Parts: sequence; C-alpha cells; structure tokens
Amino acid sequence: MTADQRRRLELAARVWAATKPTDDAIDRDVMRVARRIRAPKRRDPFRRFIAFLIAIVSFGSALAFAATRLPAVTELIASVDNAEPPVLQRSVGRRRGSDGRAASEAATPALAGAQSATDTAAAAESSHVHRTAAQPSAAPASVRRQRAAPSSQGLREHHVPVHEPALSSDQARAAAAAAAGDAEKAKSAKPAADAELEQSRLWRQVSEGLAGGNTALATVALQKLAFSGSDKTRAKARLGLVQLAVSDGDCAVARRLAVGLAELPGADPGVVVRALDAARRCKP
Amino acid sequence: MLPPISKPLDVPLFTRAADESEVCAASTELLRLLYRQVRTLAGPRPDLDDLVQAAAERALKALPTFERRSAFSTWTYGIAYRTVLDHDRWLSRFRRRFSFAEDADGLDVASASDVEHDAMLAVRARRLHVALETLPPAKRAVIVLHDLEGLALKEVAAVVSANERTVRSRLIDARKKLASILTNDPAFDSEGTP
Repeated sequence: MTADQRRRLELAARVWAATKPTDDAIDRDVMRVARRIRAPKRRDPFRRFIAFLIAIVSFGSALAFAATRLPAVTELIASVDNAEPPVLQRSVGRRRGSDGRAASEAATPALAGAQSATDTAAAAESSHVHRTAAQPSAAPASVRRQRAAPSSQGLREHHVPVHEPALSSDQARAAAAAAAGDAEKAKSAKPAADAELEQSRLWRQVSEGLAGGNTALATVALQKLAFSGSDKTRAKARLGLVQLAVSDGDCAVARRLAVGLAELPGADPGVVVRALDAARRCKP
Repeated sequence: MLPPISKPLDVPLFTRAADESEVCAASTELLRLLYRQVRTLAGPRPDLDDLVQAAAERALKALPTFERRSAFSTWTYGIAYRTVLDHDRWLSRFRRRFSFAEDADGLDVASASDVEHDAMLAVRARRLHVALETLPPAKRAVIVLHDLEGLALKEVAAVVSANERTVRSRLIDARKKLASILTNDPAFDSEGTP
C-alpha cells in the first residue's frame, strides 16, 4: 500500500469519527423506532369493509358461475352413472315396479342376465357419450340424453321374454367385461392408429426431403420424430439427425446428439453404436 | 423522554429488572445500543429503522440464550452483523428484479452537516459510505469494526463468527479495496483536515 493510499485511509477514519451521530440524534432516531415497535397494528375499518365486499362479490361470482355449469355437471354425472354396474340393479328394481311386477321371482335372474347383456352395450355407448360430453360439443343436453337412453328404454320396449333361455349372471358379467374390454381397446386403438399414421407421414417427409435435397424438411420431420412415438422410433430419428449433422460437417452438434442418444433410455445399442461411430468419423 | 444514557451495557439489564418500568428502560437501552451498532455496520440508509427493528426482535428473542462468554455489546454486535448480512442478501436478490427510485439520495448525512456545518466533511462522509457500500458485507464489517470503530481483532472475530486469521485476511483485502476506491475519489485528494 502506498503512502498516499495510507493517507487517504487515515483521512477516511477521521471523517468517520467526525460524522458519528450525536447522542441527541441517536435518541431521536431510537425514539422513532421505539414508537414504531410499540405502535398497535393499524386496522382501517374502511379497508376491512372493502376486503369483505370483495370477498362477498368473489364468492357470489363463483356461485353464479357454478350455477350456470350445474346442468352440464348433472348430465355428466348421470351419464357416468348409466355406465356403472350398480345402476343395473337399480334399473331392474325400477323396471319391476313399472311393469306392474309382471315378471315372476323365478324369472328375475334371467331378466337380470338379459339386462346386464344389454347394459354392456349401454355402457359402451354411454362411455362414448361421456367422451363426447367432455369435448366441446354443440349438441344440447337433451340430445345427449336421448343418445344415452336407448339401453334401458329399449329393453322396456322390446319386452325381453322371461321364458327365453337367458345368460346366467356369471356369463353376463363375463360378457359385460368383454364388452367393456373391447370398448377400452377400441378407445386406445384409435389414438395409437393416429400416432402410427402421423409417424409414417413424418418418415415419408424425411424420405422426400432427403431425396429432394431438402434437408430442412427432413430435419424438421426428424426432430418431431425424435420426441414422439416409441423408444425405437426416437432412437432412429436421433440417429438420422446425427447423420444429417455429420453430412453438414457440424461435428459438435453430431457429437452432442450422439451422446444424447446414448443416454436415451431404451435405445437400441446397435443404433447407439452407429450414431457414436458416425459422430466419431465426422470431419468438419 | 428516553432514560439517560448509562454506562456501557455489559450485563443484560433484563435479568435484574424488578418491575415494568425497569424492563422498559432496559429495552430502550438495548434499542439504543443496537441502533448505534446497526448504523455503524450498515451506514446511514433509508431502511435503517427496519434493520434496527429486525435486530431488536432477534436480540430480544435470543436474550435467554446469552451465555456471557463475551461482552454483551459484542454479542449484540454479532446480532446486528447477522441482521445486516441477511438483509443485504435479501436486498441483492431484490435489486436483481427491481430498482429503487432514489437510491443515490438515500444517504442521510444531514445530521453530520447540521452539526459540523462543513460541506466538505459531508461530501467526504457521503463518498466514504458509498465506497464502503461497494465492499462485500463481510469485509465491510471487518474494516468498519476494526479500523473505524477501533474494536480489537479478537472482538471482531467474535462478532463475525470467524477466527482471527480470517479476520486479518479480510481486513487486508478490505483496506486494499477501500484504498483503491478512495485513490480515484477527488474528495480525498487534499489533506484538508475535517
């Protein structure tokens, strides 16, 4: 430290000592802080009233909004109820009452079996209704109700003959389960088919892009494929991206992509080796 | 009216306070002590009252844990130091997102100029506080406590909860930085004694 710097530090120390607050100034400030600490919490009645008013208005708005949505919610609950097995027993009881107890006690299992067989269809149908209800649909609630109704309505109109050989309750349950399984499969198969279509379209784009020299198109398609579909598809798409980067001479990107591919869980080791090899041979 | 300033507060008066008025006097004494210490460490700044209040709350909460292993003022200095440090950390995070409108004018050195009627002194004091503000909080505390307030190294080490070698190292570094800042400051060019 130079002499000048030392002198400046000494001057700073003198300035510090000379500008120390006096006892009076300290007392004044301490008094202010003490008053602040001891002061009771301010409670402004007007502000509290405004807060209360805002809370009331918010609550009322929420209630009004819920009231407008109530029919749709009720409809949704009704459609879900129609699809569930417990409804079967309730509808049987109701039917027995409405039909003037025409069916004998002996015929009850047969009726129940037939009912469950038809309700499986109703379940599938109502699940469809449930799905469409969740989507933004222009169909009014009454239309949806008509679409959900035929299962129980139809049974009543068709008058299932009690003397007809009917399925046992176990068989009916099995049939219901099978029908429900089919419905599940049908539901899950559709998006899978869509995804496959989309993937094949993207691979076609890749081929067209590479054939036509349009690497941008191929890259975009590969990038989409690299983040969708199965692990195998993702790995292959990333391999394609590595190869494109190598062909562009972009070795840093190629290496990064290859390393990313190697870290991809479930990637085919053969594909990983090819990608790493391609990145290793890359020449800028 | 505040009770008169007594001799340095070495033993917590709270333990000896017999009635409410004595507790009140003791807390005022504690507040006065903390005010001085926080002002020393943080400098005159707009949020000094908040800092003092926070430090007082901490001190009153921690009072039962005071073990008398050091002087009471050293113990309160430690509380003031930690309060200022925490506040500075929060403030640095706050300043990453927001800025104060009157940052530059936040220093209140009017009291000094009222007392001394010396404009040069006020300017130098302002510049000194600005220079100290630029130092890291740990180093600023060390140089203020040792070089400007005259505390011994051992006491400074107790306040900042570090060993003496660390304090010495921080002190050397802080001196260098402060000297380099003041070298470029024309207010400290002439020798004119304040």
